[in-house]
Amino acid sequence: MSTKPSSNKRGSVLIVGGGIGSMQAALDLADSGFKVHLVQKDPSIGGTMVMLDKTFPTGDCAMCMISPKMVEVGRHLNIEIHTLAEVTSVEGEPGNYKAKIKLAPRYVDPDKCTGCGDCEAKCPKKVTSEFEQGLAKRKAIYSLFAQAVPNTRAIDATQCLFLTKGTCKSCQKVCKAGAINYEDKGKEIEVNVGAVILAPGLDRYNATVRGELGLGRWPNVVSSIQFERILSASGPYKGEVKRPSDEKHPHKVAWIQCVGSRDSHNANPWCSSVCCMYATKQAIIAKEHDKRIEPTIFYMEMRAFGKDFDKYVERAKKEYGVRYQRAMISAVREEPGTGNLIMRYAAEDGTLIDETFDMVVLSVGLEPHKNADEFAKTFGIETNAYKFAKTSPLLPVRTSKEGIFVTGTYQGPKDIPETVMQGSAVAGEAMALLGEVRGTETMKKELPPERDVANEEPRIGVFVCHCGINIASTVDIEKVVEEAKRLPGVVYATNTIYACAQDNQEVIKQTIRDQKLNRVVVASCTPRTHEPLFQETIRDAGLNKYLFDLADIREQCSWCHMGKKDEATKKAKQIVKMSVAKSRLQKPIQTDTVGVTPACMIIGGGVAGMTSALALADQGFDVHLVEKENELGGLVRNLHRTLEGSDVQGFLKQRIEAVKSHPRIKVYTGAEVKKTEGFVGNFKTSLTDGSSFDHGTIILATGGVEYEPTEYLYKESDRVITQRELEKKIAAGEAATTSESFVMIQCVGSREEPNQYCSRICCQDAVKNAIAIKEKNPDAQVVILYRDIRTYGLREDYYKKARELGVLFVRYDVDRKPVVEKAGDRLQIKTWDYMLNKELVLDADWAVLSTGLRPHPTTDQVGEMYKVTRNPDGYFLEAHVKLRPVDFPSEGIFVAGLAHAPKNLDETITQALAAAGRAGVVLSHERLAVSGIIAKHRRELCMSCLSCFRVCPFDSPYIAEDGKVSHNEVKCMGCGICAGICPAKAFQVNNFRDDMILAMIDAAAECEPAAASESK
Amino acid sequence: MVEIAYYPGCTLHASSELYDVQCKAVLGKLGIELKELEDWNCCGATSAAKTDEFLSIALPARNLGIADASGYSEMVIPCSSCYSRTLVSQKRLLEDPELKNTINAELSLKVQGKTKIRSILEILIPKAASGELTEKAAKKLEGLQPACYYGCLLTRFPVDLDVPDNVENPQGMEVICKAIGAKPLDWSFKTDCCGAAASVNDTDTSLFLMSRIMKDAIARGANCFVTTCPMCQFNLDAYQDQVRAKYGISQQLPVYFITELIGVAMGISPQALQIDRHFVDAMGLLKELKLL
Repeated sequence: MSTKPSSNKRGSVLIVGGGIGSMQAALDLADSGFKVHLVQKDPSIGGTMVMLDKTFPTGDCAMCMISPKMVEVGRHLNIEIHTLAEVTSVEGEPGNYKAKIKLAPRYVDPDKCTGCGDCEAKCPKKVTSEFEQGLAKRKAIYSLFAQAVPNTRAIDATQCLFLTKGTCKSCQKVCKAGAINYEDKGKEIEVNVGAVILAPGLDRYNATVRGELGLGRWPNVVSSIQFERILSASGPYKGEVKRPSDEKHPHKVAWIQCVGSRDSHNANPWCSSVCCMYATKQAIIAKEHDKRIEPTIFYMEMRAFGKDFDKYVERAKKEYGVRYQRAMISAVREEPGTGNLIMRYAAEDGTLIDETFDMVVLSVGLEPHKNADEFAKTFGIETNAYKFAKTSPLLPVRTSKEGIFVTGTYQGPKDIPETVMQGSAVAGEAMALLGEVRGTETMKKELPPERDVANEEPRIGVFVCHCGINIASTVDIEKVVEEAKRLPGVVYATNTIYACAQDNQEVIKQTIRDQKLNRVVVASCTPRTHEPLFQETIRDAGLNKYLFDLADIREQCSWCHMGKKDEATKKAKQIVKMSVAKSRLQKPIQTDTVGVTPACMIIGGGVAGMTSALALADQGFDVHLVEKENELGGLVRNLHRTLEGSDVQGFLKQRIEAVKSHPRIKVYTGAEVKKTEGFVGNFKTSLTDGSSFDHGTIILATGGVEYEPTEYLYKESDRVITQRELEKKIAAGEAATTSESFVMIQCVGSREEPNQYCSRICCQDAVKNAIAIKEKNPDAQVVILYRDIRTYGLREDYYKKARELGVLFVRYDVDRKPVVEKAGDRLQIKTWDYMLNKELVLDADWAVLSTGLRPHPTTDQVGEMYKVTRNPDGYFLEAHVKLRPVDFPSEGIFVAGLAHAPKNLDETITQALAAAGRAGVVLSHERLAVSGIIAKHRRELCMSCLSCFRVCPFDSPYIAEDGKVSHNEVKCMGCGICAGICPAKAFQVNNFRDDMILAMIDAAAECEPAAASESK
Repeated sequence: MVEIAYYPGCTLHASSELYDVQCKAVLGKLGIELKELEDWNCCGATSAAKTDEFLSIALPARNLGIADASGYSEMVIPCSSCYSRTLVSQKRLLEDPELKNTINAELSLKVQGKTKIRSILEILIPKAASGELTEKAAKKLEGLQPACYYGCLLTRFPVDLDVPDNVENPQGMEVICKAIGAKPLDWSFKTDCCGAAASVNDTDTSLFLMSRIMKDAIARGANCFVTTCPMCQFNLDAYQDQVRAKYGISQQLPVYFITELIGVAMGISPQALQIDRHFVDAMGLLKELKLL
C-alpha cells in the first residue's frame, strides 16, 4: 500500500448519482482512503429509496434506514457532494480522468444557510410537489424532503415570484443568516479523478401511456410510487390510507402488476424485478395501517425470487388475507358517481368477472432515465438495446470503458440490497484499480492537543439556540438562558440565532477559550444530525468531544408544543436542566485503537471466493484462500454457459490460473479451518493442514450444493435427469440429435415445505437449455411445467425467445404436481392444465428436473465457529437484509455467493466484489479506532454470572483464562444491553452511566417545585 | 376554398346519407370543399378483413391509387371503418414493397403512398384550435351535455400507427364540442365496441354491449351521444328501443354526428342537415334546449 509518487493515477473517485448505491460506494471509498466527488442532479441526495415508506420483506422504515447514511455521507470529510449538478464531459484514461461538472444555481448560499426552514415557511408560492408525486404541494423555495442532505434549501427558478416576476423577496427578508442570493448564476468546475462510478438510478414507467388503466383520468387510480407516499407517515395523508377523490378510506384496493413491464408494446419488454414484492409489501402495510382494507393483487406470475421472498408472500396470503388473482387487466373503468373502479378479468376457468374496487394501484416498472442516451454518450460507454449500461454476466459492474463502473438500476432493474451490493462492488473495483494511490488525496484533520480537565471543577457553558424562529417562536429563549445561568456548574449561558451556523461555531470555540469552559451544552435540535457537529467544534477548541451534551428543545419541545409558549418554555428549562446535570458528571473518554493485519482469509474456493481473493489481492492485500476440496472451482465446475451465452468453463479456467499465479494469494486446498481466534483486524487462524496465519478480515464464501432429487423417478429411470445433467449432454453435443421430446419440471425441491424458498436459478436454467435444444434441432419438443416463470430483469428476453422458438409452457400447481411414469423405454408425464381444465398426457423421451439449491453442508459448522446466524433455510443471515447485504453483525466478517442465498453467477460475482470492497475498507486502516461509547467492565464488581455473556449480540464479553468474565472492548458496539442486565452493575456504558441517568432524573424531578413557585 | 379528396364509403351513400350531406355543408362553411374520388370502390370493411387478408389490403389500395393520382395531398374519410381499413392498407404497403408491387401490377392507377389520410376529426380539430369554428358557429349549444363516443375503430388499429389523439381517452370531439358551447362529459365507454356488424348476426351480444354504453352515459348525466362513426351511430340509434326494452332503461338519448351539432351551431337548417332522419328523435332535445 505504499504510495508511488511516480504513479499518474489519482486517489479520488467521481460518483454520478446520489441514491443508495452511490452512497454505499461513496462511504466505502471515502472510509478507505479515497476522496469522493458525488454528483447529484437533485437538490438532495437520497434517490428513490427516500420516497419509499417501508421495505420488503422486513417492513423496515425506509427513511429511518437511509437517513443516518445520508447524514454520514453529508458530514464525511472526504466526500464532496455536488448537488443540482451534472457531468458534462469526461476525458482521460483509467486512473486519471478529468470531468467537467455543471452546477445549476441554487440561489441559497450553503455556507451561510443553516437549514432552519424559515424561508420555506414564509414563501407564498405553492408548487405541485414532485417528491410527493403530485399528491401535495411544496413551496418555490424548498427542500426535497424534511431529512434532505444537504439541508440547504433551493429556489425553484421557474416558480419563484422574484425570479419570474420581480416581486416578493419574502425569503430574503426572513432569512436571518443572509443566505439568499438571487444573483446566483451557477458554475462549472473540473475535477481530476482516478475512476468514475455511474449510479444515475432509475425512472419509472409513465403509466398514463397505458390509458386504458386510467391513471391521470380516474382520481382513484394511483401509481405504486404515489401509493408509497400515501402510506408514508410524512406523506400527503400522514400515513392514513385515503383515496385521492374524496379522501375516504378505501376498503377494496386492487394492485395491477406488470404495468409498463413484460410488454413490448408501448412499454418495456423486461421484468422490473421489484414490483411483485413491493405490491405484496404495500398490501401488507396498507392492511397494517387499516384492518378494513381488502387487498387484491392481479398478477401474471408471482416473482418472489429473492431471499425469504416466498415466505413473505405466503405470510401475505395466510396472515394478512392478501388475495392474489392470476389475471391480466385490460381496462379500468370508473363507476359513475361513486369514484369506484370496475375491472373486468377472466377467472382461471375463463369466466368473465366485473369486480368493483375503491382504489386501484398500478405497479409501475423501472426503466433507464429519459436522457440515458445522452448520459451514455457523455461517458463514452456502450448501452444495451434498452439503454441500460452494457455489462457482462462475468464482469457485472464494469462498463465497456475501462475505469468507468456502473452500479444500481442503471445496470438493470434491481432492488435495494442488490443495489447496495453493487455499490460496495464498484467501490471494490475502484479500490483494486487505484490501490497504489490510496490515501494520497484524502484529508486528515489536524487537531490541537486535548486540554487536561480531570482536576478542574465543572465550568459549563450553555448555548440556547433560536433555530431561526423554529424554537424561538414557541420557547422563550431568554427565560431558558436565565434559568441556565442559575444552574450549578454553569459559568456562562447565552442565546444564539443558529448554534450550528459557521460563524456561531467560531463563537462557541472562542467562548470555550475565553471562559475556560470545560463542558458545553447546546440546547437546540436533534442529536441525530447535530451532535457530531458540536462534538467536533469543542474538540477543535481542545476539549474531549465527550464533554458535550445536546439538549433537544426543538423536536422534543417547540415542534410538538407549538402555540403553548408557557408550557413549552417550562419544558425547555427542564430539558436544559437535565442536560446540565449530566454534563456536570461527564468525563473525558479516551478512545483506543488497535492495529490491523492487512490480510484476508477467504473460506471457499468457488467463483465467489476466487473473485473476492483477486479483488483484494489487486487492492494490495494478502489473501489466504481456503478450499476443502482438492481443487478450486466449486459448483460452477458443472456449469457450461450462462443464459446470456458466456463461456463459463473458459472463465473458470482463467480465474483459477489468475488466483494461482497472483503473488499475494496463497491457496490452501484440501484444507479446512481448525480454529480462528481474535477479532476484527487481528484474527489468527490455524488450518487442518497445519498451516497458520494472521489476518484482519474473513470472507465466508462456503457456497452451496444442488439438491439431489428423490422424486419423479430420478435414479429409477435413466430417462429422468437434472438440468445440470442435460446441460452436460448439450455441451457434449449429445442432446436433441434426433427429434426428441423433453419435459422439464420446475421447482423440484424448491418452494414447498420444508424448503419454502425459490432457488432463483432454475427458471433460467430451464429456459437456457430449452433454447439450446430448439436452436440445435427445431423439431425437438420442449415442454416446461412450471409454477411461476421467474425470468426476472433482462432475463425476460430469453423467456420470450423460448416461446418464440416453440417451447411450450404449462403451469402446474403445488397441490397438483405432475406425475412421471415409465412407458416402455420412454416416459409418460401427466399434468393438469389450468387453461384447458383438463389433464394433459405428455409422451417424453426425457424428463428434466430443475433441482433447487441448498446451502453447503458445512455452513452450519462454519456458522457456529464464527457465531454468525443462519436463516431458517440454513443460509447465512447478513447484518441487515437491505443495507448491509454482505456484512455480518460481527465486525470484520463478510459473506459472498451461494452461502448467503441462491443466486445467479453474475450476482455471485457482484457480491464477491462487494465483500472484497467491504473487507478492503477495514484492511486499508493501519489502526482501527474503537468507539468511545462502549461498555466498561469492572472486573472487581463482576460475579461472572454470565448474564452479559448470554445477551450480548456481538460476543464482546468472554470467559478469560482465569475462568471469569472479561470484556473485549474492540467488539463492543455500546448498545448497553449488558449494562441493563448486569445484576452487579459491573457494566457501565461510557457517557450513559447510571449516575448520569439518575442525575438527569433527579434534575427533572426537582424542576416541578421551581416551576410551581414561578407561576405564583 | 381549399379542396381535399373525399372518400365517402358505402355508408355515407346509403344508410348514413345524412352524414355525407352534413360533412359537405359544415366543411363548406369552413372553407373546405370535398372532392369525391372518382370511381371509388368498397374498402372491404369487416367482410374482407375477416375473410381475405390480401383483399383487405388490395381493395383500399385501389382507392389509394385513385387518390394519389387525383393530385390532392389529403383525403378525408369520415367513416371510422373505411378510415381504419385505408390507413392500414397504406401502412402495410409502405412496409411491404413486394406486396405493393404485386398489387400495383394489377392497378391502372398505382399506389404511391403520398396522400395523407385524415379522419373527420383531424380536419375539424385545427379549426377548433384556431378559433375559426367558434367564430363561424355563432350559436352556443348551451345545455347540451354529450357523451362523446369514438367507438373502437377510430383510435385503435391492428397495426402500429401514429394515432393523432389519446388512444384510450381521446379528446378530439370534446375539443370541438367545447368550441361550440356544449358541455361534454368524461365517461368510461368512449372507445368501447357497440357490436358493430355483429348487431345483425348476434344481436343479443350487441344489445348487451350497447346497454353498458347507454347506462354509463346516462349515469354520468349525458343528454345525448355524439359520434363520428356511422356504424356506431346507426347501432345506437336503430337498436336503442330494443336495448332500452331489454335492459329496462327508461331514458332515451339522441345520437348525433359531430357534423350535425356543428351544423346546428352554424345555424344551418335542421332540414338541410337531415336531423329529422334519426330513429331516436333528435329534434326534440334541440328544441327543448331552444337550439332550433
